[in-house]
Amino acid sequence: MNRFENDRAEQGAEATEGMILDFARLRPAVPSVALRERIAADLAAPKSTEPTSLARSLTPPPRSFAWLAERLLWAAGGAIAAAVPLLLQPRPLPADTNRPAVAGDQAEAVPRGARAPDMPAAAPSPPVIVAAEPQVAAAEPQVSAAEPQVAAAEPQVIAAEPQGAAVQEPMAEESLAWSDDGVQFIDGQIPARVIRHWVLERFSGADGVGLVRPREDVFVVPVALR
Amino acid sequence: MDDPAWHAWYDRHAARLLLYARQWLPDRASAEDAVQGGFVKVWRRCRSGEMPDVPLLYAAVRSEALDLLKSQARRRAREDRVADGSDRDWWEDDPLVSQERAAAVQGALEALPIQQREAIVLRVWSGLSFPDIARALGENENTVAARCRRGLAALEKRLPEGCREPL
Repeated sequence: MNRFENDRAEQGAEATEGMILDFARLRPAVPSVALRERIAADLAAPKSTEPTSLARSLTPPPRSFAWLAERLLWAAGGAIAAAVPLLLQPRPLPADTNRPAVAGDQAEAVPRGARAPDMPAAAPSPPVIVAAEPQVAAAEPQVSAAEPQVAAAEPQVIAAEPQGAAVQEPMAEESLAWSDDGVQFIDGQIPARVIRHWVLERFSGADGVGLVRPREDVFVVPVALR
Repeated sequence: MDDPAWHAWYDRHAARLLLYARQWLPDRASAEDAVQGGFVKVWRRCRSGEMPDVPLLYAAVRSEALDLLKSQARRRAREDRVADGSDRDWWEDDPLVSQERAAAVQGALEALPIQQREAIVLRVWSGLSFPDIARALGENENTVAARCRRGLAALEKRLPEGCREPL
């Protein structure tokens, strides 16, 4: 920088300082009185109410042992409260033994399993059927023949009482399907063959309108294993 | 820290802080909010008997002002208040200073880019040195000095012809 440039820079600096002093004669307006009161209120308030970014950046307060113990207590209480309903809930039976030994009259039973057209016609199931029914007894030899290793025992067929308004006898029954669930262990001990039969019952309503209701018969036939 | 020491400190800096906040916030009420938030934050961080760091105080007010700018609700309310022009005076009434020139300086400042404007306000009316301005803005010292120099030159050019003579 030569002498000419140096002089020019000095002149520029002097002009800038002159402008600064000139403009500085303008005095900024003072804030309102309310601002001082608001600041005083803020400074008198506890620090925890400060919703500012600087407050968020401060390090968290040190945790005491009482603070930790309290939170552990809360956590343990929550775990116990969550576990109590699970402990009070009854344990479900195993899948093999969950099947009822009583043939129920189920209103919404849906036929499942393969249709067995070779099986005999459906035995009408009165409220309580003992295995002395001739149709069921006729079916028993076929079941035994299908399973040579299983010796059929005395069949036992029990049907439940129909519910509600269907106490009256059906006008007609239509056999839908048979199903053989194979040998299962009742209560985990008694071997028995479970045969299901789905029937469509037709009733005559009081006002002359026909009523159709499906029914599922379950035949539990105890067997002896050889 | 609730001792009365902050009152004297507030009296010395409040007007300058308010002028600086108004560079970001066009109405007085929002600028006072920014001053309040920044002042309280910085003063609370001081230990008893210790004065706050002035550049840090301006940085805190700037942060508060920027936060306020982001608030849409406040922006709408501010626009409504600015529209009626009721609180556009930046300066104290002074019989020795021409009101016409004061208004001209304010108008010329408002026309400058915000970076130049805040550097000029901190240098001229807050009286901070360039190192302190650099600390407050988080910028390089030479950058701040260059902004201030260019801003002052542009400010003088933007003043109307009859208002260029010294106050």
